[in-house]
Amino acid sequence: MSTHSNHPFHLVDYSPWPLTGAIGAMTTVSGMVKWFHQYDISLFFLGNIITILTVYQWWRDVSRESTYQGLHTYAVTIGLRWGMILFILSEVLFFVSFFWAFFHSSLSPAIELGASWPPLGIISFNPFQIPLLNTAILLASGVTVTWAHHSLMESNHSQTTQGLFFTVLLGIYFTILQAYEYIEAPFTIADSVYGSTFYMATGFHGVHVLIGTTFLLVCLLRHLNNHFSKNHHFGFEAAAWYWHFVDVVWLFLYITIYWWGG
Amino acid sequence: MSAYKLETAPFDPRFPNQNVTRYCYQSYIDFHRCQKKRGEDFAPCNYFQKVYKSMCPNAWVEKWDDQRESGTFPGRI
Repeated sequence: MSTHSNHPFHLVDYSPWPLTGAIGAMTTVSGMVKWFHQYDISLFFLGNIITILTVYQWWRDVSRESTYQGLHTYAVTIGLRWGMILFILSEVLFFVSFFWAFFHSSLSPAIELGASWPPLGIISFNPFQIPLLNTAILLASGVTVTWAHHSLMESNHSQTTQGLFFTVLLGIYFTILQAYEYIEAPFTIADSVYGSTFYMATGFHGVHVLIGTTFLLVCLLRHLNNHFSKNHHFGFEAAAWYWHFVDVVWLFLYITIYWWGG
Repeated sequence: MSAYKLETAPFDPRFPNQNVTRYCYQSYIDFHRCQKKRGEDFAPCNYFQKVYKSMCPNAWVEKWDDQRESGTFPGRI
């Protein structure tokens, strides 16, 4: 395909990824139903493989179109920015629904729970131990990602690498600590609406940390392959926006569910 | 003929809603907490009993009594 045109817009080529993505999503959802009803995780696992293969190849194509074919003009990046802003807004509303469920259940606890929160028998986490450490970790990762961004804007290749490396490392450290908390937890998702709202909110946040860490790791690998320049690096900025969003969600989780609600 | 004075629980501004589940439940807890703190012969506790007996369905009270006996009552008394 010719990359020359008399307009700034990116007219995309035919691609199989929307179709394989739809198949992956459908398989994942069907796999969850099978998992929850028949305790068989294999179809869910297959759906995840199809989805991961799809996103890997789709975004590989996007990187090629941008970095190697130069199809992401200024006009195109404005569209990408709006896309990311609206996506994060939808994510905000996604988490609002979990906070809504939490406050609905905790502000006026049902009499079946003894009208108290946390309900009798729930031993909640001490918010000043691992959760506070996790708060510090995510705040620190917000600093390191800004360090990487400013280094990138000053064409400082090695410091960008360092900043991104430590951001990814802090993301992994957070995930390890959360996994440890889950393993050691004295209550489960089946322990009253406390467990339900706790694991629904913190679990989806954890998934977002995993995705955000992967996004930043991809940025690090692309940076090591010199994909970014000082004035053309929206992939990195999108990852940073997403990471800050995940960070802010954690602050709300920490203050409301761990601290106030514990 | 003696004149009976019919009484029910008074309006409590903590529970302004038509649904008085929480008025009933809080009074049940208050009665037992009051007895625990002041002893079973402390007459003012009976006020709470009067309230919950008029606000609560009998089946609920029976269930909660059973729960207290078996140590599974979730309220903090």
